[in-house]
Amino acid sequence: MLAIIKNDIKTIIRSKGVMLSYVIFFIIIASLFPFSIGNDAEILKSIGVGVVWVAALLSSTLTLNRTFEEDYDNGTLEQLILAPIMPSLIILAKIISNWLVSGLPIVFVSALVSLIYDLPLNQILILMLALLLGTPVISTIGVMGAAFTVGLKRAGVVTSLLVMPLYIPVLIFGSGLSQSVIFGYDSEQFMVNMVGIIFIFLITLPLSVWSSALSLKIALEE
Amino acid sequence: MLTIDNITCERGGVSIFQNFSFTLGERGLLVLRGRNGCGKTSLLKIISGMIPPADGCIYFDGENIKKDMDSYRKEILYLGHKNGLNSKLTVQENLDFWCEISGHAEMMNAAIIYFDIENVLEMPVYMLSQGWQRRIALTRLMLSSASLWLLDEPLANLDADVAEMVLKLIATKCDNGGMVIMSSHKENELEIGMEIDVSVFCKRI
Repeated sequence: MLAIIKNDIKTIIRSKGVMLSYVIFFIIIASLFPFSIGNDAEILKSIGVGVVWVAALLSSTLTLNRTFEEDYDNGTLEQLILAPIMPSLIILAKIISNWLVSGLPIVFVSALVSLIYDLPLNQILILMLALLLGTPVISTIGVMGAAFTVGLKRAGVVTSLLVMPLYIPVLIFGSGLSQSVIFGYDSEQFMVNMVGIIFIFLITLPLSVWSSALSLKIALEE
Repeated sequence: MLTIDNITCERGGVSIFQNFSFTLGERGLLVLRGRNGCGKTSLLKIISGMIPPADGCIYFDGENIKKDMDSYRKEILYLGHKNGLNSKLTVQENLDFWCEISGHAEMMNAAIIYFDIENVLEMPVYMLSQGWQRRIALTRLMLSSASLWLLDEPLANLDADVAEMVLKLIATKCDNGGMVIMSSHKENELEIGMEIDVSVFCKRI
């Protein structure tokens, strides 16, 4: 499993700025809103967290096609499925490497983007914590979507349409958790949202691993 | 021992071949021949477990392979038309990857020397020609301890000298008790083993 993660990260790093493009896209999306709605500090502060979360979701969809496409095209995927390694470990490795190259950088860059929305430090830290909990869920769902569409021509749009609705629960709990400090929610609200994200992760992870492994097997049978 | 018992292959609802049977024992080499589209690749994929047969069973050492695919996968090495190489990584990195997945690192030096790939180890795969990429892919044969090799056109794109290396490796594998099933359009230069023309069983029009 570690070999697959190392392979994927080396491939991304050598792909001439692909990793940077996810982060730049995230920054651009998050930066566009102040241009469209004006620079009223109170309005920006109230929407900042939601904007960051939507930008995180949108930029994550850029990573999905690469999850299996190259491995499918060059024959690595069929070799991995036939190797003495559990298919679930292959999927788990893909989820981890997807998170490392897209989710984790966004957690840190969100601090930078939060400055545009004039969020105070304690709220930025909560936002980063929420993204730290939420981005693995985004990767888990995203990899599942990518597995469902592996081998399809022009799978990019289809994958995005597939995963976007599935992102909604994590968006609700994630932005809810992030805003629990901003809007003065009590600690109970904070815990409800945190438990909500963790619960979604615990449900989606085995579902994603199982269904993705099955999808890859079916794709390779074609 | 590998026993293929009345295998039928259907792809996309179309019957490719029917009632295909054979038995391959230790030290066995089977060369699959036949016109394009007769099902050589499909047969190899069925034997590898990648695609299920529409009918029939495959037995390995007397056990139906469906009962324990994990154990069966440890016994086979499948090399298809695609090379399974990451083009952005170097040759060494690709070999290291497959060693970590299912190979034996202690055989690495011997494999590098045998296939004479020392000079390209640090080159990214995308810089190599198709022939060289095939050569690198075949290096995995020496890194694996699988008892059954399933090779789909292993000699494709290879120079004569490299093809000879591969054929010698296959012969050595058989001599050492292994089993090899390969598809090929070339003459059986090894002059050992048996040949089957899959076209005979082919039902696709």
